[in-house]
Amino acid sequence: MSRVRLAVVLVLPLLLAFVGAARPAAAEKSAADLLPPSTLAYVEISDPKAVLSTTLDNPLRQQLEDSSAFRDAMDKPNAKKLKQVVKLIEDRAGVQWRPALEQISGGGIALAFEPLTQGVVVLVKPEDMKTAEAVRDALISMAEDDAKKHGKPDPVTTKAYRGLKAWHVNEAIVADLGPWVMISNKKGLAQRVADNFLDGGDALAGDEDFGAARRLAAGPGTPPSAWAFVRLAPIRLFAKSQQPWLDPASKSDNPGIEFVLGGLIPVAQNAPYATASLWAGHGGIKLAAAAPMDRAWVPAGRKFFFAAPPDGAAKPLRPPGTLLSLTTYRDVAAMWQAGPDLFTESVATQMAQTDSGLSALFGGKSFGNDVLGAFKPQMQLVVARNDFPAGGLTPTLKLPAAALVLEIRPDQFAHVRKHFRVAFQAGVALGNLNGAQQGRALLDLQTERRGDCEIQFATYSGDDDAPKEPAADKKVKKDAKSPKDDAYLNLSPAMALSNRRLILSTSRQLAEELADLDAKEQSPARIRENTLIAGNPNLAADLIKANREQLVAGNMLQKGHDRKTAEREISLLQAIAGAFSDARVRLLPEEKSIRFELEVKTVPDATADIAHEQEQKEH
Amino acid sequence: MAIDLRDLDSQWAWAPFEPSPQRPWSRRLAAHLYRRAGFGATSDELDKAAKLGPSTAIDRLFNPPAPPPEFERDSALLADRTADSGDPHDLAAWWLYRMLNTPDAPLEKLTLFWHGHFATSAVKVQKLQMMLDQNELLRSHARGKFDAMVRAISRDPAMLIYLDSTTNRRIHPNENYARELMELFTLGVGNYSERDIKELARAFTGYEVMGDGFRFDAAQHDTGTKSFLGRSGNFDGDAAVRVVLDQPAAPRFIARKLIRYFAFDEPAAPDVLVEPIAADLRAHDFQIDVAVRRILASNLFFSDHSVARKVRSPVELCVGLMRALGGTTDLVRLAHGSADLGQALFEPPNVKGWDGGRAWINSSTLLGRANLVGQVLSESETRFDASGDSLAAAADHAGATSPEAAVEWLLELLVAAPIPATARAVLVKLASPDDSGDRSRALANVIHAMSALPEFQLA
Repeated sequence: MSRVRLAVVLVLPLLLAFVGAARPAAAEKSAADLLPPSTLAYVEISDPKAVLSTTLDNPLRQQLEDSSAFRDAMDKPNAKKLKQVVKLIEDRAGVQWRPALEQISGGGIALAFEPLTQGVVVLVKPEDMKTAEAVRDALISMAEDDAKKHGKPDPVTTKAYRGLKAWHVNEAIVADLGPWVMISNKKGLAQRVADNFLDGGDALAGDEDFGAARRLAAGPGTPPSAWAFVRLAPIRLFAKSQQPWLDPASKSDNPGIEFVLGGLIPVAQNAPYATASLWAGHGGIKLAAAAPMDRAWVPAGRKFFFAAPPDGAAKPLRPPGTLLSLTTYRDVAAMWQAGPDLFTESVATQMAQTDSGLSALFGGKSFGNDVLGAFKPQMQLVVARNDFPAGGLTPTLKLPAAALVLEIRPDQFAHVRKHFRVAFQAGVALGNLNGAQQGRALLDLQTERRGDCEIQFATYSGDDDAPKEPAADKKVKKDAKSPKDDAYLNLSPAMALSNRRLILSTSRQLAEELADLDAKEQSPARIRENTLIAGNPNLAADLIKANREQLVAGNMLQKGHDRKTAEREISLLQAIAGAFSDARVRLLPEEKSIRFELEVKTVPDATADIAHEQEQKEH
Repeated sequence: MAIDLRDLDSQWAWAPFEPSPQRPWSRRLAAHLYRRAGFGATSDELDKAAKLGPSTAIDRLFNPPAPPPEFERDSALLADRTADSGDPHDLAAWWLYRMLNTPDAPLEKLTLFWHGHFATSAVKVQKLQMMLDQNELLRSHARGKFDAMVRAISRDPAMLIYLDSTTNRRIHPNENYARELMELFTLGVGNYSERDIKELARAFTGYEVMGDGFRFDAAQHDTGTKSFLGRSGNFDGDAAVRVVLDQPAAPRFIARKLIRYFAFDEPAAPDVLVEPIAADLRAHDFQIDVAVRRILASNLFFSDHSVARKVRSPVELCVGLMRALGGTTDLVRLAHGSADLGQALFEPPNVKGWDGGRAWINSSTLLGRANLVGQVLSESETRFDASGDSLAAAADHAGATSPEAAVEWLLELLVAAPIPATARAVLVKLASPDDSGDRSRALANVIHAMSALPEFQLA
């Protein structure tokens, strides 16, 4: 297909539509007023400029465009063709693509799918007609030239429907409806939208679910830049045969998925609709998904997932250097006990066997009832920077430390202290046995107190790692090379116990910092969220910097790059991580709905600093 | 009808190849030389070699320019980091990086030979740093004196761990290393007795691995007289190696393996052809490159007895493809791909190394080879920067602008044996770009189709 013909197929219907909108508006109707109530899915971009600007004016854009991945993508034949088409339109219309796109779509865009006709409809509200006309003229002349060149008839024809003018371009139908321009691939759907424009009548806007969805998607505060609505019942009907988990009577065969998503499954099984929203701006972006929820939908076996209102997850402990904190409400003991109801027979049997096996490690106590039951459902995972003191043993690959923080039920402290102490010591002993077989240094087990917290920790001693001197009476020749497979040096396992919390950490430092934060909170606080994950990508940039050589080597081997290109890619990765100040994921159950949010905030100046650093390095 | 190798005049066979009207020096013969001495040649390298003639081309191959400092610096970085990773495939990826980027491909080819000869597996040794150290040991001795290499490998911690010889006490000598030294490393079966093994093992008492290094514990060394292979004396390990290599079977054993590795898989070289190379080894104190050079410069090497008479190993297939086309790709995945086809670097299957030859090919690996080539060519990480960004640019650079010329160009670079006319016609059709006009994609399809041909499996 020639470039011109491609342009006609791809762009002309849209442009004709934009130009058609020059006609005076008959009546101001929203896109939802025009669409039929049987619409299954609906997407509305109310502020296309904001979405474009967030993407195109991002401070990372230049660096991303310099990356080899972007260059490779731009070298693909389709990308090259698209660029040629855009260039042709720009030349003929005398416009630049971006302002043209902003002016043409500035009033908003809506897209819908209607299942009865299997049709898709796009409604666009242009902002500036001069630009649209210039682009239209360019496209028509390109189409005419191309048709002439190939001896074919004009690809654009016009027809009338109830006094409305419609353009037919290949399969697409385009018509102007007051301020709106409609494009559809199905005649029936196009006529239904036109009827709504002319006569009013039943429309999506009057649908009860759609109205509720619009309010749910908007959330509190600023309206979203874009939002979407989808009816779930028809999808469930269609997907049930292939997705057995949609049946409320089904049992799970994956405890991991059940732990992470178990409470959301009843929502997917019952909710009439779901929404998604996007807020875009220079400070960052936020994506949200929401659905109505009735707590009665959640069966007894899955009650482990939700706290009784207003309880929620624990307020996160965030020591200095926290890269990521996850706090969640999951009553694991209840989930374990509900095993036979929740899971398939084979999984339930495995859980029973695991319970029996782990009981041995905890002095004969039942793992499900006594060990897991000793803790409250609030649990946290903290990942933080691992500092290595100067002069000590430092691993080649520097990994962050991680800690699991569990809250102890008030009457269970003595049991937890006794059994976890023994289990921790047994774990260190097993680690040493394995380490000795691998020729590694041994962990030295010690205890310290910080306030009312007892910390047991094990560290690799520098002296232990030094080569042993040979016995004096032996003539020994020894290779001077020392081992470099030293990732284990990231570990200094620790267990902290206060009368509120149990902290299991991969590093002594993190355990101590968490113990200090625990001491400040006499009674653990709660938040509304069921789950909150908060990350600090800026600190991740530091981690990338600390492991730069390792990452460069990996890039050279896995992408086949030379060193210079690999260094540039790692710098870009560092710049991307450094450009974000905060990243959050929230799962928030409310009275009659449940909401999932992903939010990322940017630091505009961070990329400039890193780019400058890279420039200095290259010079 | 092919002449039986036993009927060949050994003097003619190992005499330097002189081009003649019947057997002119050509790009195809130059490609054969580069494929066997290293891993293949680019179009530019073939142009140069064709102008130089066989003798000078071989001189250049054996006297390469010093590697650029940045190559050794990057290789050291990658070696260091992959040895830390704990994954043998990562270390294998480092070695593939060397094979692909070194200006001295024959050195890496010889190192690969010795890796199969002194087979040691990371699966048992566990410590990648030791495997890396052994690899560097093999490389440093690869074209030097064999006796020095055997003495060094006798002290190599990875080898001693692999052969369960981490302790060797005088009251209970460990016979494993002594047995393999004679059976697999120097003499071959039938050239020693069980008693020779027991006596030789006494010479290596006191050889131990302590921590991560070799140590010689003099207190555990048996200082008594040892009698083996017709000699008696208070031999230590080094002296014992000398006694073993003094056996007439030793140079023959090595010569036979070198001929098989560089010249032809089948049939096994008869004694009459082995003896002149063995004599060279004896005369030059086991200097390996003398023997290798004689093999690669010979009439026999450039004859129909050698051209396309070897089956490419998976590593030769992977590296050869990328090197000939000036390409780079995800080397970790390439290392996994080679392993899936039966050649996991740093993980030979047993102490005998890889069987090679026809053992590389079965119905499963034949399909796997074509799949691997297809996968490599379609990966986004695969680029042809060294030859102008794309396969199409590489073809243009070589003057292969038409579909016919492109197929001819690729056959010359990648295939050792002539292919049937029907297959060539199919390849030419594939080389014509479709409506999308993506010529690189069309050439990738040609290579993928080529890789399924029996001729592609030969070197």
